[in-house]
Amino acid sequence: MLKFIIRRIIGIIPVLWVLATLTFFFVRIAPGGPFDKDRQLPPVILKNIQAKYHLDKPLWEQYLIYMADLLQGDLGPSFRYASLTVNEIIAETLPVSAKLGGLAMLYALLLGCLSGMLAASKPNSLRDYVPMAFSLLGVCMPSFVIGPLLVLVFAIYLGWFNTSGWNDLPRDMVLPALTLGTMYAAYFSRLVRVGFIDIMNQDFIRTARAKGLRTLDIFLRHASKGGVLPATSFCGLAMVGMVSGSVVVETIFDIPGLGRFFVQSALNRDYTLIIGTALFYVTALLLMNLLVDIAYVFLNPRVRYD
Amino acid sequence: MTETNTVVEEGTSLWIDSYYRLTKNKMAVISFFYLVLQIILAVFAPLIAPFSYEETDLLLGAVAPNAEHWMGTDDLGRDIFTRTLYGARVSLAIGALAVLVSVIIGIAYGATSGFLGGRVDYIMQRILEILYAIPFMLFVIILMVIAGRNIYIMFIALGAVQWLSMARIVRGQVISLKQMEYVDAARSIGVSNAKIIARHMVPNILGPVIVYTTLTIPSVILEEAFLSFLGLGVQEPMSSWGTLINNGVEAMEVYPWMLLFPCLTLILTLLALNFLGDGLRDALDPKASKH
Repeated sequence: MLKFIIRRIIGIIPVLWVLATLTFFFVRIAPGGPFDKDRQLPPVILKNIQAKYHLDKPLWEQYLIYMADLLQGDLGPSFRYASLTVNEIIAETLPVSAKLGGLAMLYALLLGCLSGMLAASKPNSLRDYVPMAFSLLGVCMPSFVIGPLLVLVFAIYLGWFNTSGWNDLPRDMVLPALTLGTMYAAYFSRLVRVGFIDIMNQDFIRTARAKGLRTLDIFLRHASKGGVLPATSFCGLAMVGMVSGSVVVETIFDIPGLGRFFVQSALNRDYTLIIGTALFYVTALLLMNLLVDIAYVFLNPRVRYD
Repeated sequence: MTETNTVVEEGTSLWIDSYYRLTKNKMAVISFFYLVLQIILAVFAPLIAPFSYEETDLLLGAVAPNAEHWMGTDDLGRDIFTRTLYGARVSLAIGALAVLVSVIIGIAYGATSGFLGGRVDYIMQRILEILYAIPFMLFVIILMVIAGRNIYIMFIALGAVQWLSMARIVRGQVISLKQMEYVDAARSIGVSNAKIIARHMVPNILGPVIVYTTLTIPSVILEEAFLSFLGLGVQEPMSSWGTLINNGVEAMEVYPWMLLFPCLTLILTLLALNFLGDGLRDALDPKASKH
């Protein structure tokens, strides 16, 4: 197991290097630099600024400087927000995004597991059809559709919540978390249902039934571990999806998180911030995926990573 | 099983069987006709559309839905029905083209990996696992910024990030087909690998590929809308469902119809594609859909 974890962590390094290199050159080939928008700067000032960010050096030298910094975990200064480094921006905005993502994931897992188990407890009955109809609808509701609709109903017509903003109050987190999580709740619900129906057809469940156990007890004691397996392997994909989703949700609700900075940095051609944010996301996701895989082993002893 | 016309009958009956199974699924049939209608409307949008999609009418402004403007107009006086029709052109075109790209890459990758097996398969699968964990939409966003919001590049980029699951499915199919006797037979008489793939593998994996393609279209349409919503996809005055929803969000407090109709169209289309995909899976691959 330990060997597997170490091998996986080592495997992440070349991925990050390839992505960093690709993005680095990719972004610089593009027309339009970070300093030629807005008004024309006097040549001297422009030259000084370029020297500060090493933009006057040949491309390969810029690349080496960047990579050397990257090795030390330094993502460089932001081109746009002159006084801030990329590390500072990430440190500032990550807690907000993490809170939003964590809440959304919790909501998606809770609703998904409960409705999926409800559906699986009596397949092809009303108890199955109603949650599954909602889950099908949920799969077709991306964040940029459900978010505005939720705002329209609950913020504008009913006035229960603010339409946007983030004051670190629980009230401001409800709509964004619902927006981000609903689609994944729908996916989890379908996967949990399939997982539980699969398990419920196994022999050991029939034995448990024969002993006279209630369905609820069987669900919680005997079927739960195996039943959540399909949903567990989807967790990694869900996190990837939520990262892109958070970009939209933070834009809709005007939340000062990492996702909004990412879009802005792309629009501003803030090279270091784009690469830094993207690399940060990828690293975080690869590590989280590793956690999911480890959890998978604990839930399913038949899988071994040796 | 004899080598006479009974074989021919059986050869066709698989598809006819699937056809009957599909037509029994009411939701799939309704979805199919809805999508056909949607495609016809999109293709002939210039002939059908009652108004121009770009001409503004500031004097008219935003009008609630009425007999003349079925879905109302936006704040610049443009007919929402017309703009939704034109949006369908973009969304459906991207669905078709990007999916084509993803199908080609997915089949090539999955078939190679599954067919060659061994070490190549192992490495290709590890690469796939790593790619699964990468938020490609973020890189598509970067690409769109660099490429200057060129919609053709968007078509290709979206297809290029959608092939992962296709590759997995194709690989699984190829591995199970590889053990079939007729493939052994072909190999024993010296047929080349390329030819075995083209003649024996590809026709047999067509079913799952069709099913999965139908299910990929909605995610590509979603991603186009996602980019356009962020202002990185289709540009004004052209419309796509994503830009319409984006405009709708800005005006929803005063003119909710600007948000509701494009959202509704998008949701209905995605639902129809999902129903049809599920129906096709039940029809073409009954084993895979016990539940």
